[in-house]
Amino acid sequence: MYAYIIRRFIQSIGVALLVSFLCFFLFQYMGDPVLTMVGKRATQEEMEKVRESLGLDKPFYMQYLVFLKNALHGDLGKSYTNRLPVFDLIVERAPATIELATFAMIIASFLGISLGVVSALKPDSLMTRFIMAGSLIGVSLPTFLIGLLLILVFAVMLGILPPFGRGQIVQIGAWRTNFLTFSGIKHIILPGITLGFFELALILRLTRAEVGEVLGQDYIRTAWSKGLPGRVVIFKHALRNSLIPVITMIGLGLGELIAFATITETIFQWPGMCRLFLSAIYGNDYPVIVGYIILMAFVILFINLAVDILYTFLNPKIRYD
Amino acid sequence: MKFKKLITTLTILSLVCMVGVFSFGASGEIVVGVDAAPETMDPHGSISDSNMMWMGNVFDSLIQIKGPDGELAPGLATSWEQIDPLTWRFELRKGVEFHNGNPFTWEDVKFSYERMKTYEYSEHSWAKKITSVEKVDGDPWTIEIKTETPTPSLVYQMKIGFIMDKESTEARSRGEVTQYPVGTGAYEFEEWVKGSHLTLTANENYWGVKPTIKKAVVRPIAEPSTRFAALATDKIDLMMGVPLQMLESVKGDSKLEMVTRPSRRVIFLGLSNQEDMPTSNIKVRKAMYMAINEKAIIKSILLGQGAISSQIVDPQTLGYNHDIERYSYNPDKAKELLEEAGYGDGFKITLQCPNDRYVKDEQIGQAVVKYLREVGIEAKLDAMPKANYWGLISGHKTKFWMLGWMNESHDLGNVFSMLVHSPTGQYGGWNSTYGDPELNSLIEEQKQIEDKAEREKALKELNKIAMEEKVAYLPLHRQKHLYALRKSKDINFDPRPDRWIMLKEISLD
Amino acid sequence: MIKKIRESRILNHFIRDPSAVIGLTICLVLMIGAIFAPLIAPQNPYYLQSLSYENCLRPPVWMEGGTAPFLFGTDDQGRGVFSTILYGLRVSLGVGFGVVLIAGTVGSLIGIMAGYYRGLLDVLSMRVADTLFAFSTTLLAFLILGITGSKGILVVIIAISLADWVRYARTTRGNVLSVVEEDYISAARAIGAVDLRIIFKHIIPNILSSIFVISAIDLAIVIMLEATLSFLGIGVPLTEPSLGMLIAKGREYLYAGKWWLILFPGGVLAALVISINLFADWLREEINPKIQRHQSVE
Repeated sequence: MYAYIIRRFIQSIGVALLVSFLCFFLFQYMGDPVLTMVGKRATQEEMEKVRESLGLDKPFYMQYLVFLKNALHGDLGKSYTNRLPVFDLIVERAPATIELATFAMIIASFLGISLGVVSALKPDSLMTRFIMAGSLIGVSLPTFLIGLLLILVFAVMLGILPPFGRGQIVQIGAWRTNFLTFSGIKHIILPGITLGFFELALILRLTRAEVGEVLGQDYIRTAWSKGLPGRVVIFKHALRNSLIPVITMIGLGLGELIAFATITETIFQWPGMCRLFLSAIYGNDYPVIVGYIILMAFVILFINLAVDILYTFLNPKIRYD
Repeated sequence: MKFKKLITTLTILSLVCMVGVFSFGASGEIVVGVDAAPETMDPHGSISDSNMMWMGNVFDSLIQIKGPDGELAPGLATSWEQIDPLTWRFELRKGVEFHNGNPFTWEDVKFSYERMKTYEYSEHSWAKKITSVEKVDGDPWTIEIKTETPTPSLVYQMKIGFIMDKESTEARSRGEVTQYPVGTGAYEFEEWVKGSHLTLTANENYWGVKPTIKKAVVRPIAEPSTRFAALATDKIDLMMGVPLQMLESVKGDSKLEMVTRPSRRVIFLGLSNQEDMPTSNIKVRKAMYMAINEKAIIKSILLGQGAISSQIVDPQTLGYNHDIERYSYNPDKAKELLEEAGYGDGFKITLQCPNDRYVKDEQIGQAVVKYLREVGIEAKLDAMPKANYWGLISGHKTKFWMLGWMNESHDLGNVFSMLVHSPTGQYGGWNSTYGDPELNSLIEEQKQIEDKAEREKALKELNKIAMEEKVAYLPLHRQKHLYALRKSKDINFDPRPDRWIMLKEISLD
Repeated sequence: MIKKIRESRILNHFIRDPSAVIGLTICLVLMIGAIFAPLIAPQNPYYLQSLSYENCLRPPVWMEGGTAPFLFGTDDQGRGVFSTILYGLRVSLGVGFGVVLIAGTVGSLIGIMAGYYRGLLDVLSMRVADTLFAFSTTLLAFLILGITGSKGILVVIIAISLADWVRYARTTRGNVLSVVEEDYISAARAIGAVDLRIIFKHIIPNILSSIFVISAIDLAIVIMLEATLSFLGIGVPLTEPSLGMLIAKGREYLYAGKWWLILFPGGVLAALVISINLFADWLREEINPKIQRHQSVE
């Protein structure tokens, strides 16, 4: 098993290197590293001067090694627009995204799992039909449409929830949080629901399928027939076994969560790091685009690795081939 | 018993006082909703207006431009004069302090201008023509600035020549300087949360008139309808860039007030005169001019929020000529002219325009195409994001294009050098494919004229020839800047021609 | 399994399942609307001379101020919303089918090769697939289009396909692996049949129905993805607006009370995706219930 973990680890490093190489390649051809140094309005001579000093005449692999060395030190270059370090720009805005995503995932997991269990236990009830219809809408409505509809209803028509921004925030060290003021909590509701909606539907559907499958298995039937209380059977036996894939899916769905966070942050003007990525795209700010991709790749690979390792412990049946 | 009453009274009184103090604090506060976020707090780091205007609140320049009329006014220099074509002399203001308490000296001026010329820090390419900043005869309060070539417009461009504190700028890291600005301006920097807001507080030691707004929060909200929602729900007090689609909503809301002002930016169409183009024929150019019903465009697309223009500069520019008249809308005459020019059956042409730069740019393009088709020209529209579009102009690739221009230098000579002169060397950087030898030589000649009155005469003449005789461009309109205010705030706001929000020029009743 | 579909059993099941019937019907109606848009739409919204500024921002025809032929009202340039939706459907469905075709073919082929030949090819392609899958199709499409910029419908189709082929490759490979184990394939291999023949004669027919199911699920996902990309301004160009872009434009009027600019395109997009999903869900139950909508876990 440890051999497996080590192999997975080496694989992850390989993929990370590949991603960084692709990014470097793209950066060299799409963006202009000289521009990062001199800004958009430098003269031709100034740009030439910098081009020499940057060592762009060196062989390609040497340039890549330098790029890699800098990236490992957290130096992902500087933004074209304000020439601040890309790494700092992204990290500075991470807390807003993390809070939003956490809030959304808590709602989605809680509601998704409980509704999923309910609909698995009573597959033919009217309630289940409602839940399943709702989940179909959940996987069929794009996030941006859900966000707009929520704004239309709760902000424009009813006027009870704010449609943009983070509201009043409290700063604790470098972390700025939403959860300590009434205004902050009010502001996170709509974007949180928007972001959580799709995940909710997915978790619900998967929980229902898994619980349904487990319920049909022999040991559960035995547990029922032994006359154990329903609560014990459901929570101790059925849920526990069916939640492993659900949790795995939540962990592996991180890429999707980031993508949907990008949309949510755009619609609600949420000052998080995903919106930074989109504004970098609109402004052709290649260092930020590339830096963001590299950072996200590392986070996703790391989480995947962690989930994989966790999974091997939770479910010893997995084959290590 | 009495004692208890006393305590109660005191408590209530102190509560009232606290509420009073609190509401007093809030009344001096204003929240401004802007359309583009400031991207750096380095006053030299970016010359886009969304940055510069806030830097203009935190920093001072030697000469400022005062709203609402856009006149030159003393800043950190109390007076100035031009000694010779290459030399300007300034008397510096004494007793000014930076926000960190450092005194303002001539060395800060020298340092700042040097910094503006350094490409690592600065986008201010205009400052590169300054060759030296020196004190005169050992007097630290009199300085001379020399330029490489005669630059009559320098004093106007100096509005963005922000003076930084030499000591603290050198002592701090680049990242610090870029995020925590220290200036001499009417407002001190308090907080910048990227993507969320920028907070400025009044500088109580300001050398000029004490600002009445004590605290300002700048909230960038790029999406226009969200920005309007913020205004309608009392989240912001002053909104920049009211989108035309919100016009009705603002007018219909009794809590809100509209403020408009024609911008200095003129929108116009460029038209190639390369020999193989039908548009090299002056009759065709005039016909296209007459075919476009500009009044209808302003009325139905800009909903009246535009000022018709007969030239490509605004009245505040030296060289603006009141005698120039538009060729009035006349489709029949246009068809006649086309017939005379031998294009009675029309010809094919594609108008290229941005779709995310000017107010209703794409719709205006569509209207132009529609009008051209009505006189028989087979026009087509190619609208694209500005990121793709600018390359077509600077690469001199487009034959029929839309451009909006605002000249910071207040000088027609500069505008024409960039836009009308054929693209060669230092000239015509923003002229795609137009060129006329006669206009070229006139543009080069005007550069030598130093006397202001004489210059104005020459520029006016040049302007008239270019617009009426040569139809170098087809002028359309100046768009209007639209602002909306919350009435309950009692904001006295008179917009500036450059669209900057200078908080010290706004007052609260 | 192709034969199975022909058998009336499936048809019987289909007719008895109202949600599948409704799904397919709506789906077909919308597709026919898109295909015959030039005939059905009362105006060509992209033919400039047919527009007039007097007809800007009219409400739907049943409200005060609405006029024929603008059933769903008009936008800020006098285009009928009904017409723009029909033309927008063409773009949305075009991108959807384009991606399903390209990603489906390429992905399935990779999956077949990997599952049939195993070895290094299998390891490599599945590693790549796993990695791409970790990023998710949506995020990958963002990243690709973020770098290339919005350059037209074809670029959008290719970008989404680059991100999307994984979905097909992984499932197909799994299916091939189980089919290869079957006796008749080993028998065919033993008598020395050519690989290509085995693949086309035995393997593809056996896995085609699964590919069909994934395609249906994928179509819905791709249409949503394209709408999202266009909404964010990194998808199709402004000159050929899809449903997502219509909604983005309508958003400018969200607070101005012009609800028809957002609710009608939004409603049609929702109806399209829901109906495809209804049909796809039924298809999955019928053909291969093991296929997961979300395939992070297999």
